[in-house]
Amino acid sequence: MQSNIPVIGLLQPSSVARSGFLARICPVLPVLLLLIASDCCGQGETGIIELATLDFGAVRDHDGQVTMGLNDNILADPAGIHLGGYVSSGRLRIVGEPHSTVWLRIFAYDKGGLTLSRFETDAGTWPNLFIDLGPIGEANFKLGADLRVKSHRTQPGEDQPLYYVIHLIHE
Amino acid sequence: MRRLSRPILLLLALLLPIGTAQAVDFPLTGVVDVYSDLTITEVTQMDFGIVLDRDGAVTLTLADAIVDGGNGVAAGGATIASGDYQISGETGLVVDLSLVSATGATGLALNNFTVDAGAGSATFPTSGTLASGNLNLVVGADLTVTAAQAASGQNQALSFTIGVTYQ
Repeated sequence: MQSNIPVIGLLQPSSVARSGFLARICPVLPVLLLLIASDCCGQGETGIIELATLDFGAVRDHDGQVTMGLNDNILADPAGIHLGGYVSSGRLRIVGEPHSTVWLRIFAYDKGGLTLSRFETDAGTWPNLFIDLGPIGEANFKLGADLRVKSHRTQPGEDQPLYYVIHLIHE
Repeated sequence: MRRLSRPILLLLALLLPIGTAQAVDFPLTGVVDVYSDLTITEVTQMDFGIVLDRDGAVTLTLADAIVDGGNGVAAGGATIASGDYQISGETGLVVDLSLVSATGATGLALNNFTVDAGAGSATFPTSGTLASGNLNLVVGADLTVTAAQAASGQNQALSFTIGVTYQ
């Protein structure tokens, strides 16, 4: 978020001249203050870009849980509900202010008997996931999770959505 | 050191970095395909009719008929029938079909299964398509009698298990 401070309007050269230690730099003070204001108030937009959708492939309409790893692989399927198909770990990119740190939390909720939980990333450990955006103001990370199927509420169908929210806190 | 005037203090206060944390929610969506669970229902029980307690074998075809393998083991019967089963699942998908196991009563052995999954006579493993969500399966097999072990009696159990999985 960017805010503009009317710095020049607050500066009164006659008042500054009466302060001894400022008198020596008075002629250049307005220029210096303008430069400082421009640097401190300019903030890049912070956002998340989805590079690859978290895709569990196909499962059968049967109670069970499938675990997606961080390398496009199914790690566990104890109930034998996974049917193969194209699987993909989530891949996300955070963009924002260079050299800033963002704090992430993640939430998911049940929709139609399908629930995501136990999220895993290659960028740290939930629930306190701090990511440094580095000198170019971005960071990529992978996402895996558990998918639970509750067959008494699930309906067959392709491309069923699995909802989750990333809560991002930044300064 | 002289004290700073109020306007200067206000100016410096405004210039100091203000650390205000901001929070934003980003809703995202994963995806999964959910397919109907597979079920198999027996429509007609596999029935070899009557066989005599003597060494030999008979073949139950895919057309509700018995072919005697020699030694006159086959003895007719009004209930001769190929096994008929209906598999249900996700419309349009292909399933793999396999024979998991087959056991008979003492002295009676099932083997050499044949199956028609919609494409004519075949053997396990094979596959078929769930047209309109269903696949009809007809099954035949050979029954071998070992007289020294088999016992006389009606409705002797012949068990087998078919495996069905989505491709």
